[in-house]
Amino acid sequence: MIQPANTPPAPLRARITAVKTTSIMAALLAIGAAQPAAATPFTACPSEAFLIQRTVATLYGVNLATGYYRELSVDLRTSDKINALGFNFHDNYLYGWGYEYRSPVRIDSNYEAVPLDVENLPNVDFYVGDIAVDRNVYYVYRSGASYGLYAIDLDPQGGAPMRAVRVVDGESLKLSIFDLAFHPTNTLAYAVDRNGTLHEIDANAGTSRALSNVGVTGTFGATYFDVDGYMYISRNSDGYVFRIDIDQPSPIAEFYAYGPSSNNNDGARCALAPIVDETGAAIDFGDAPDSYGTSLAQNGARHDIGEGRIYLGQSLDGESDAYIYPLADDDADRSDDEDGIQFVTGLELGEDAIVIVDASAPSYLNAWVDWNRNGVFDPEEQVVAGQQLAAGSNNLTIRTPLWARTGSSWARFRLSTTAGVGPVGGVADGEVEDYQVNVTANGVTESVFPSSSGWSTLAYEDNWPFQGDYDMNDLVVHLRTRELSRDGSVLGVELAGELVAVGGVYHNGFAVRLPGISTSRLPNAAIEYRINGRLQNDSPLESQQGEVILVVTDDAWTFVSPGEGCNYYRTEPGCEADVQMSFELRVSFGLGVPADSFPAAPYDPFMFATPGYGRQGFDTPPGRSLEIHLPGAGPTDAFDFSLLGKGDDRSSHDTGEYFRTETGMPWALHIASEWAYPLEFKDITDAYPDFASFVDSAGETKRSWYVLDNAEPAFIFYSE
Amino acid sequence: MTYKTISLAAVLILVLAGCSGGGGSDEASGNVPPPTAANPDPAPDNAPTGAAAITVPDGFDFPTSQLAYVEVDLGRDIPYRTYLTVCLPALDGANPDYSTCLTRTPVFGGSYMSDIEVSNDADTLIATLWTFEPAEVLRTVVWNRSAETTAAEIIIN
Repeated sequence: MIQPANTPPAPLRARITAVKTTSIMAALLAIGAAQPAAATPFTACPSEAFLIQRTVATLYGVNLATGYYRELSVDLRTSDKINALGFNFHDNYLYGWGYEYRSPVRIDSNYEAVPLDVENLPNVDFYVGDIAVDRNVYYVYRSGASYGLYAIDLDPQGGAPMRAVRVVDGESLKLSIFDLAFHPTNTLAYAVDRNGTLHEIDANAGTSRALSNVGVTGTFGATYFDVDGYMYISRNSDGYVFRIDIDQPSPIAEFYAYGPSSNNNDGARCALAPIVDETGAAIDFGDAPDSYGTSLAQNGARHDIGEGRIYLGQSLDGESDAYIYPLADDDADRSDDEDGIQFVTGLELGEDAIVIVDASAPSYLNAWVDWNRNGVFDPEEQVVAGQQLAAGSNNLTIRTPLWARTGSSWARFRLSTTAGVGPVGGVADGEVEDYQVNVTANGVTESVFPSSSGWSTLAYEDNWPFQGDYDMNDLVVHLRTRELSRDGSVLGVELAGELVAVGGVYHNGFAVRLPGISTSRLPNAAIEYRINGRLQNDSPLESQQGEVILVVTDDAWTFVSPGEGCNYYRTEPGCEADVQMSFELRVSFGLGVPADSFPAAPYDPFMFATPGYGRQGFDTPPGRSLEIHLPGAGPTDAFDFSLLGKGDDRSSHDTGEYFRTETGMPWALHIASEWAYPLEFKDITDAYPDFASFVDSAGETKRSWYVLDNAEPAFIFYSE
Repeated sequence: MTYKTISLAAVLILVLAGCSGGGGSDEASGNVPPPTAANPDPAPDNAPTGAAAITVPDGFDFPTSQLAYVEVDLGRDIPYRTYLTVCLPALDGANPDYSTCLTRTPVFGGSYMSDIEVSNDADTLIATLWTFEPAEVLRTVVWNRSAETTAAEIIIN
């Protein structure tokens, strides 16, 4: 058993709490929850479907007709998932299973989840459930002989405590399903299993029968009905919504709409409400934050698509309402129509910038840039006013005013046959495209690695100092770095990234060190840190360190969770899902750092053991004192150097080679590209047959060993 | 930082623990229960396979990118500001895709030099030098990776 040296106290930095925001919405929700706790039901049987996702429960409203979805709440007053969602027609509350409490919860129209005291439930979590339409009973189900189908009377006689009754055990009723929903009128419930088999379930009797195979497979984590008896199922891996007419002799699923994808999904809907198809999605909206006037409710910039003749770039698509940043219509409908504007140069204070605008036909362009970053396109921020464009490519010049504020902001471009168009409001034709832009000081060079839309991949085996299975996916992070420099001095860096996979059970943190860069280089308030587009209050800078070390997270599992039916996050077959966590760090140096003493990208990204969680081979959790770095990088001052040489580790102070085995194999790799990492338990040499030759030849041959064309498809995790 | 002294007995235990974890088996990883198929007759030559069998050359850091040298030298002192971009190509292969750039920088006096880090799978880079009045391309240089190229250079003159 490894005896770690007395672990130095964990660096005293304020902990980053998951997904707490300072946005106005969160403040309003907090105010609502602070009032005396008379819960408010939803006012009527709403047409919108409810969808709950993410490791820390987030509630969305989904228009099943168009697939359009909006965020209702990121703060349901719980720190964990909610599943087995059901809308209760009898009392107009939402009910679900709260993982934090391991009990049912009731959610009111303030989106506050309150745990319920229910007797006789087994000590396990449920992710399948719904409320019956003909009686006020919440059914939850879990397969397995020790579990089964349970009925919870939500309104027991005489004020008796709520009690779960097991209708049937989970071996007699054995279904591989991830949600079920009750039909509006026939008292039965329905579910589609992984193989596409449609099951009709009599919850009263505890029996089921298979009706048909609906022709689609996958994990259908959210299931709904509408008042006409149509069933809707949403697939976790891609968010596709399918509709099934269960009255047909052999029901099949037809593709219906694009919805949000998540590996944690559960849906509920008041089955007695009709589906409302509003605008028919013939309108194009922008996607800048709503303070700029983006959504329909804010009279946001919108263009009637009409015949679709006038557009920017190569294509145009509509949506029934705006997807507001950090959502984006291009993610929702999988079609990138934000392609008409190219920024050739940066936006430097006091200088001209060049922009290429691609127009489908002769038309007029109006454009704004929020120079003062106040969240609004003010009149003096109009940079293009009714400019006539030719069909095809147009080179335009925009001047960045000296009074502009440096940093990240938004720009809006509107094309139409109408010359005089403002930043908000509807227009009869054309397209609007919103872009995030960066304003810099004058004379700044921007250097991005690997490229301004590319990703580097950092892949770790986390079992150090023991060798693992070399599937290189225990922790996988995408990273992009952007350096701003002038006159041989680095003024600032931006790190953008996403947490792409966690293929192990250990809890690990992730950080990036800037080797040799002292924390004294950073003036106060010099770091802007965002998770999933939301500004974080706590500083990511590790204190009690001489060098700049930016901690992205103490624990990757705070932000991601395994998919339903999966053990890990995005490493197993059938466990595809959208990435759950993205981050951005912007660091400004006070006086600039000489470029020749600045480290090379991707700097020193490393993982560390989350404090308080055990690891095999350690008496006590090693916590922050255990780190794993890329080949060529060494540990930080927080590392426990007495761990070197233990297990399979053959680190050497003399050669400066750390985190290597006897044969020189590392525990981490950096690939300067977006990399399709191996599936769980698959060795990197099976997934990438050229890897061994690349190493043997010391990089002289097979330099592109890692590209998708050179992978063995059966051994890699591939997700769009 | 203090280091705890490891007793001899503990060292022996460590050595044994290290050996039992060899072979890259799942038991050593501790992440998941080991595979159910037990090996009834563990052969003495339990040679490692896959990545565990690779011997890495000394000092090899698994690089997947290389430095490229970029230079602008218009041969005469240009009084006006120009702008250099080095980007990956657009789908047409002839023009840059300005959403995929590696470097963007103003150039003064018609002269600039720098190193940039280029991923191994970037087979083509397009460097363009723009003027502002009028806003148009002054020079374009296309760099293609070839098997013989050991050093990457992009020179605009």
